[in-house]
Formats: sequence, C-alpha cells, structure tokens
Amino acid sequence: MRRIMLLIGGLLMVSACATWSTSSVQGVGDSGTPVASKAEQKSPQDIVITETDITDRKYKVLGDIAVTVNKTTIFHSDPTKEQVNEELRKEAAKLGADAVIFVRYGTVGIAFTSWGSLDGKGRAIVFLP
Amino acid sequence: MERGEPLFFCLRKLLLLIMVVGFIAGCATSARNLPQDYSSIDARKRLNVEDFDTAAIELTCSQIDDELKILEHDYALQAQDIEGKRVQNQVAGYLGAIFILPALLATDNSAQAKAKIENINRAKDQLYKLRTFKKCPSNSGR
Repeated sequence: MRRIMLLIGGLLMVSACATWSTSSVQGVGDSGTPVASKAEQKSPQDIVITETDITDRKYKVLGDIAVTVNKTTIFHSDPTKEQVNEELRKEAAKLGADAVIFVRYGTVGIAFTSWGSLDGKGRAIVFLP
Repeated sequence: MERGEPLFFCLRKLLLLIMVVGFIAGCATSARNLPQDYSSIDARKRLNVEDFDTAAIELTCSQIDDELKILEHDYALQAQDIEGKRVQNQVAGYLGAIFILPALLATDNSAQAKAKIENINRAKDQLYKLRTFKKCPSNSGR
C-alpha cells in the first residue's frame, strides 16, 4: 500500500509539468558550433522562424538544431508546433542566431520516453552586414 | 513477499497495457532531415538549373507559393487524420487491453496518411529549393 502511495505521489509530482524537452545542436562547419558569449546572445522573441530559406540577406550558418517536446503524462495535452518553435528559438538564442530557417516538424505520437512527443529541426543562422 | 506479489502483478499488467497501447496508438514520426546548405556564404554547393526539371523551372515565385499553399493544406488534412485516429486508437487500446480484446481491431496506424505526408514533404522541399534558386522574396511568416 505504501508503495502504491509512493507511486501515485511520484506521478503527481511529475504531472505538475505539462511538457519537458530535449535538444541538440550540430555544427555545420569543421570547427563545430560556436556558442555565443552572454553579450552576443539574442532574446528568443527576436529570432525569426521560417520554414523556407532567407533569400534577401546574406547569412552564415551557426548550426543545425533538433528539439523534441514531450508531454509529461498521458493526461496532458499533446505538444504543439508553437512549443517546438519556442524551444528552437531558445536554442538559437544561445548560439547568438538571428533566425532559424528550413524549420520542419514531425508528427505527434508515442515515443520511447513519452506518451506524446513532437520533434522539430531547423538551421540557426546569423545575418551578415 | 506475499504483500509484494499483488503489486508485482499489477505493475506487470500496467507494463503490458502500456506496451499494447504504445504499439497501436501510433509512434511519433521524426521531422525530416534538413536540406544541404546551398545558400549561406560558406555553402559548398550552389544550386543550378540542372537541379530542377523543365516544368518546375518555368514556375514564377507566386506560382511556387500557390503550390506550397496547396501542399500545406493537404498536409493539414493528413495531420488531422492522424490525430483523429490517434485518439480513436488510444480509446480502443485501453478497451482492448482491459476489457474487450476485439476492440483492438478498431485501431489504425495511419500508414497511408503518413506516406502521403512523406510525399508532401518531399514536394515542399523541392519547392523551397526552387524558391531559393529563383531568389523569391523571403516570407518569414511561413
């Protein structure tokens, strides 16, 4: 009985967070992915997210970002594209990027570690003067 | 030990239930891989006419955008189909695993919709490439 109570308690504790996420950044250049200093880091809200390329400005690639948003329990609502965009923005901000281009999404479904998982990928870029 | 046994069986049933529902409710599909870098200042490959077929190269930027809108609409329909079936599958999965085994027959893993999405994504990638090649104005809202 005590074990069951512990299990229920544990479940309630983790269900307080609706989603959790993982991310990875892969460098495109041979030197790997640069991480911007605190001063160079941008605010996530300022980062442009687009599914296409940016053709009217010159840019440099900082890295390819992959994020996964998972719902914590089966009772939470499924992760959305907006949540994936939010995670992409956060990761891009750490790199000092101005935009994330070629953004693409998977489809929501059950993953090894979650009852509802949605992943997204995008290329972090910085505009050149 | 005796007191532990019911919990052990309970957990085993729970694990079985999770596995059954997991299998039938449909797995998440990953986002497709990012295209090769062909437009940054460091790009090792640049796009040229040979990368596209003659019919595609004739398209104007607004025609490309119209094609993309159609594909996005189709994508939304397929995604809606998968989402609808996922809920249906979860309900059938619980019923099948706990009460009525034949309820499992009511599941559908949306293989057809997923295949259509795959084709739509391939077509979208080709059109994005064409937009880059034709230097169509950027649309950050897309």
